[in-house]
Amino acid sequence: MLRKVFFMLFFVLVSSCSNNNEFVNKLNNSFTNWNDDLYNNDVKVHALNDVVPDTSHENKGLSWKKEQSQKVVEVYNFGFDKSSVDFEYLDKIKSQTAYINSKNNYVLRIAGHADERGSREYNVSLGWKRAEAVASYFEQYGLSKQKIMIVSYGKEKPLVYGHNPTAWSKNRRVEIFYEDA
Amino acid sequence: MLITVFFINVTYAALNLELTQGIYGSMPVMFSVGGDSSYEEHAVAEKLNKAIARDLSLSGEFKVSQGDPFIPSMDKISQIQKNGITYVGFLRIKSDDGGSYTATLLFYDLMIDNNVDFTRPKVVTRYKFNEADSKDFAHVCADDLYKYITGDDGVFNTKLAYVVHKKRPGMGSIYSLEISSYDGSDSTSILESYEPIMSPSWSNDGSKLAYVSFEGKKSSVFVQNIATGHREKISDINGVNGSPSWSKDDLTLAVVLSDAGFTKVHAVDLETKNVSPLTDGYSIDTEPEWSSDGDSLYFTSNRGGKPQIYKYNVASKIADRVTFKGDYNASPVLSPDLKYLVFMHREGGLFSLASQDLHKGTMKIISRNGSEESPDISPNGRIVVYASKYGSRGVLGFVSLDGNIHWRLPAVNGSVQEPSWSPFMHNKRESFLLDETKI
Repeated sequence: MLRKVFFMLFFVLVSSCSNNNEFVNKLNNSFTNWNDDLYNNDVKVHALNDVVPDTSHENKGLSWKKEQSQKVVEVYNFGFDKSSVDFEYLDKIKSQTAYINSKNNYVLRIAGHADERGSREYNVSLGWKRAEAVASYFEQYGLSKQKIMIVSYGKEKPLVYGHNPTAWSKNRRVEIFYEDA
Repeated sequence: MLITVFFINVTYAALNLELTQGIYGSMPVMFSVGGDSSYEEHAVAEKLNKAIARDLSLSGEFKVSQGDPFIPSMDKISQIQKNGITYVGFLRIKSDDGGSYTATLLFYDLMIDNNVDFTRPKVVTRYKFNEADSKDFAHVCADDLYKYITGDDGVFNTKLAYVVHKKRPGMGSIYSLEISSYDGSDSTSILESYEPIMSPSWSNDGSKLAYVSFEGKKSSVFVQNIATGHREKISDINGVNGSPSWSKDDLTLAVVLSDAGFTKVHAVDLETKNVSPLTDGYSIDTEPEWSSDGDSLYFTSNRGGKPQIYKYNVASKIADRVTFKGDYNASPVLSPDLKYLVFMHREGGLFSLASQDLHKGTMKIISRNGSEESPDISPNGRIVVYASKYGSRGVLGFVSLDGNIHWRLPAVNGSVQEPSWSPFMHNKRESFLLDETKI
């Protein structure tokens, strides 16, 4: 799986200067199914009518499974509509970088989040800016870009359910996880 | 003058569309279905009668009265006219051999024709249908009546797609991408996932849905064939893959991809999979919406500091700001005639839905309950569907484009979010239609 991830990240890396053609190449070359095999059982596709018999559609209904909480290593919070990383987090990022670099088999997953206000897709972009801002500090402190995977969930995965300023400030966050390579 | 006219509760659907605010002075319409004689005909006629009247009533535009099934005659017409009815529909069904029926719809317009000759209806439409399809056939009939009365296509035969988010304590979440009739009935899942599903968008031919799936703990844009379940991954870069929007010819998908800290609108050629960037600059650009003429894309951007809506001209590659009122305008959708833009609007910290006349530039709030998001417009341009909160649960709301009629579609299990309205399903009508004669 990791080879696939690295394969993909390689393209991101070599084309990070934002020349349009290179960017297009990067996109076209990134349609590899990295780590999909791990999650095949996490979705079920249903045909609307069974005109075409397909065995993958037979078992209708995804069953409930016990929540597997991925261990969040650290959470960094952000101001409203802001994506700048607070200075108080920089030391933490620095020491996390050193820790991950000391472990050969760790990759870092960075997940950006937003509070519930505003449109869903705008919040995905906002969560992405936050995650990218954190990622750039990790890189600055010496973590290889190849060891970083970034995702933004926008407001889709709130930490706290509630429609008040306390809940909102807790949900505007970036979470980091280690993942075995 | 607006008043709350009536509430309708229908019990057989999983989700029940409720008309919460109609208009005073809605058009009086009389409608009835009659069978010739047999028991079967009466049973089918009664079913159709209920379903068609329900559609017309739910539109909020008509006051539907249903007399006993009648045979048109001069006596009847003068009686109906005295009661102030302006439009009359009469559907007569006749059982054929082998479980199929022939139906004849007679439509009379008493508004323009005071001395109606009952032997000469304004429109005579003949159909053929099987009893098993009577639900679809009722929607088609209601659509035709709607068109004969208003001049616009009806949306009773269209579909909605939306995401249902179900949660259980200790068991996490299941997200389901569902398709239902326009009124929320007959919902069925086409995709389920333990991870979020976002931004469903119908292709213009109605056969496919594009959406964002976070399966594999990353975002990807997929296109799924609704009938077969076959799906194709369109983009999965290490970053944001979001907000798919179909071009008019269904050959290009606009998507939002992240690039160096920002998100930009890109066009993916669905044949060659070539990707080309459209918008540029140091800002968040997202939520593209193609105009139906293909000349432009509307999108949300914070290039001016706060999220506002911009119009990108495909030929000149220039983006011009479109919204100016309020500090947050997002999620643009266009009416099919390109006259109105509907979007999420925030003023004083509260979200609402606004429509903007694109020629005059004037903006109007059409729904204000504080939590509206994800608007989409019906294919006839008359109704806006949106997601909202009812308590802490996500529900769908509907409002007429002029803001005068309101509906609510409460969720049964889970939170409903991100509705997308299908295009017209004209092939359904064609499958029932024998002929149509306008006089």
